[in-house]
Amino acid sequence: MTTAHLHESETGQTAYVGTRPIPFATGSVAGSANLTLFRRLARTLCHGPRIQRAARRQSVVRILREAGEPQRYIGELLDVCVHEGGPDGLDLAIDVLSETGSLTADYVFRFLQRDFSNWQTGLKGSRSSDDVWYALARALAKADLDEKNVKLPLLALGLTAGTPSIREATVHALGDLGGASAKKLLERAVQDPDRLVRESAGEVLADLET
Amino acid sequence: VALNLDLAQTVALGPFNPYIITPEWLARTEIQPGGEAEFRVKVIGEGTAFQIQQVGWEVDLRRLVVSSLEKDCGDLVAKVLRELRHTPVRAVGNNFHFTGGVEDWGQSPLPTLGQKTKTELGDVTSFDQARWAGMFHRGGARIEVTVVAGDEQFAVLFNHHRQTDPRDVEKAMAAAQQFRHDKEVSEQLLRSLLSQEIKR
Repeated sequence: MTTAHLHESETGQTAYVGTRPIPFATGSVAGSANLTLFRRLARTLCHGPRIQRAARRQSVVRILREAGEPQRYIGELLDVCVHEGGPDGLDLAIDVLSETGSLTADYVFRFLQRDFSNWQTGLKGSRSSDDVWYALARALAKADLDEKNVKLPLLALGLTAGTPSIREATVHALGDLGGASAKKLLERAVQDPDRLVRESAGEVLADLET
Repeated sequence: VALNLDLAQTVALGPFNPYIITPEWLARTEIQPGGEAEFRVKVIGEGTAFQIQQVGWEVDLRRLVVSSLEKDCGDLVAKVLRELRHTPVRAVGNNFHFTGGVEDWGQSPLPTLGQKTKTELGDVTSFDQARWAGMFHRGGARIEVTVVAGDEQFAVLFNHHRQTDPRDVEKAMAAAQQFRHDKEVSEQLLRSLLSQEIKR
């Protein structure tokens, strides 16, 4: 996994920061200067002039690759694109994350480990992590990664998630991937306990057959 | 032209338990009732992160971080400490980040590398980022101010850090409750040091 303990602060506390040590242990972790500027860049990617989009997209990809703790940056990107990014936000997140290969795969694995469906107990609120997973799964399917050893095992894991919406988004990502192995997984999804997942799997399989 | 408050948060250093501080626990203890709120899960290196009602929570075995532009983060941290009084907290920090486009900065100088401004670097190298930092002491807090100039944008970061006694949770709670005061001090410093105003 790519998470790194990068720096020791003056108090000896391990600090997770972008690319520099922070002098004080309570200095912002979730908001190092690099991360704050990255968040602004992600917003301008979504809402700035289209003519500058390609250059900003490349800047975002470069920063993700250089980041000391890329999970935190990917999380910010997803947060901005999915929740504040407007009509293009999801597609922009998918485009960017399909270019960050193993970092995206790492994030996908960690996300699936945190399928906190049990946290919903006692909460009435809606869970908006579904769109985040949608973007991640589609980016994974598009990424330049080993299909047999990386993409398929991770998407197979997505089909076992406790949350039906995660399983349903995984079905669509398998449709993007195509091929015999993806079809086998989709045939399994046709037996899913959730009706929406079963129906989506049937539709995607039918599309792949034609 | 004015700057945006981009991040406001309280950090408490101590061994917090991500299996205790969950959205359900926050709702049950009425520290932050969930109601009909949207609930997001985030992935971080260790521990857990989630967001409820515009408040971000990060919990791991080293720290608790509460972030929000609307709520009093320090008050929320103090409420957690009131419930988990046995947690040894050795420092509390209140952080405020202000950002803007370089066109918002006005006539005040931005960080340079030596004598060279961004435009004077020419073909020698492509400019990515330059920083200035300063430290102050005020009212028992150590304040670090960092000014960061990026290619198109800049950020001004304030960290108000207070050491606390791990055996005395009241001191940690009091430090967290300086959140609103520290925010005002940050805005004052932004005006007096850097001649910048905040967007309201």
